[in-house]
Amino acid sequence: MLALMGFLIIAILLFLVLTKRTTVHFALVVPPLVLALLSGFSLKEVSGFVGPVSPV
Amino acid sequence: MLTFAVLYFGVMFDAGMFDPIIKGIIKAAKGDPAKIAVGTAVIAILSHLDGSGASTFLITLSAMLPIYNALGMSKVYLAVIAGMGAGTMNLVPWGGPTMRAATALGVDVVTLFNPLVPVLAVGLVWVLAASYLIGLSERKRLGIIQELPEEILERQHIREGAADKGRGEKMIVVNLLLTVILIYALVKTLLPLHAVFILGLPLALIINYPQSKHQARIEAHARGAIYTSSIIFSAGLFTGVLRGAGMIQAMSEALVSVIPDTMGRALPVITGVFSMPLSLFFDPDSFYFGVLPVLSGAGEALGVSPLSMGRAAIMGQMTTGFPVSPLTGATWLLIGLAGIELGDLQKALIPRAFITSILMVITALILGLI
Repeated sequence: MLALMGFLIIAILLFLVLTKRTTVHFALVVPPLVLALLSGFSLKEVSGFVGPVSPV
Repeated sequence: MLTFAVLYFGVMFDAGMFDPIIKGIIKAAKGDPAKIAVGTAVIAILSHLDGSGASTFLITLSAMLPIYNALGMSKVYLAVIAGMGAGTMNLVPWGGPTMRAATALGVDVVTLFNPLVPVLAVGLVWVLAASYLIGLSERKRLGIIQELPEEILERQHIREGAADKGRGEKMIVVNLLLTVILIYALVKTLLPLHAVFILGLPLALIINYPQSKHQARIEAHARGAIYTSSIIFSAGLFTGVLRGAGMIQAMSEALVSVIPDTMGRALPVITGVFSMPLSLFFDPDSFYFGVLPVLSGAGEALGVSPLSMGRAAIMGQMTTGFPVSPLTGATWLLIGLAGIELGDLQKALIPRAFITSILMVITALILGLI
C-alpha cells in the first residue's frame, strides 16, 4: 500500500512535470500531501516529515 | 545554501569575474556552437572530479550560461550537457554512489571501482560525442556566429548601463581567489554547507560593492534566488513524505520482492540497465543501503558476486541518473541556475543519460566485470 503510494507520487510528479500540466511547486507539494493523507497520516504527522533535501 | 549560492554567483558575475573566462572560451571556439558544446562537457567533467554535483553545476553554469545567451544557444542543452558530464563522472570512487555501494556490500572501493576505468572512459567518450551532436544541431540552427565579438561587446555595454561593476574590474584576482576558497570549503565540508555562501555573499559584496546603495545588486538576482529556494522547500515536503512516511522503504521492499529467483546470471545486467531510471524513484541512501544489499544477497545465492552487483548498480543509480532525479538538491540547483523547467530538462536528458548507462553496461559485460 505504502509502496504503491510512493510509486504513484513519483509517477504523478513526472507526469505533471513532463507534460507541463502544472507548476513544479504544485507537483512537488500537493500530490504527496493528498496521498499521504489518504494513506491515513494526519496533517500533523505529514508536517513532521518535511525535511531538508540531501545534496549529492 | 542555494539561495546564497545563487546570489553569490550573481554578484560575482556582475562584478565581471567571469569575463576573462568567457572571452577566452568564445575566442577559442571561434563562435562555433559545436565547439562550445564540447567545451561545456569538458568543463563539467573536469569540475566534477570532486564528486560534488552542486559545485559542478555552479561552476559550469556560471561560466557557460552567458556564452549560451550571447550565442542564442539553448539553455536546456547547456543543462543537459552539464548533467551528462556530471552524472557520468559521479562514478568516481570518492563520489557518493560508488562509496555507498562499496560500504553497503562490504567490499573494497578500489576493488570495486578500478576495473571500471575503461567503462567510465566509454561513458565519457559518449558524453563528448553526444555534446558534439547537440552542438552540431545548434550550429545548423544558428550558424557559426562571426559577428560575435560585437555582440559580446554590446551585451557588456548593456550590462554596464544597467548594473555598474563596482570595484569588480580591479578585484578579479581577489574574486577568483575567494571563489576557489569557497568551493574548496564546500567540497571538503570545512563549514556546514549553508554557511559557506552565507559567509561568501557578504565578502563578495564588501569586495565589489561596499556601499549601502549597492543593496540593489541583491534585488537584481531576486528572481533566480526565489525560484531556486522556493522549489527546494517544496522538494523538502516531497522527499520528506516519501521517506518519513516509510514509502521509499516500502518501495524498496516491493521492488526486491518482485525479483524472481530464476533471473540468476542476468541479475547484474538487469540491475545495470534499470539503474538509471531507478534514480527517479530512490534516493542514494535508500537504494544503496536498502535495495542493493538484498539484490546482492539474491544474486549471491545464484552465484553472482557482490562486486558484479555493486558495479551494475553504479552504472546509473544516482550516477548518470542523478541530474534528472527529483530526489536530489543538485537537480533543482541545475534548473534554477539555467532558468529552465524540469520537464524540458528531463525530456532531453533522460534518453541521453540512459544511453550512457547502456553503453557502460555493454562495455562492462564485454570486459567481464558484471
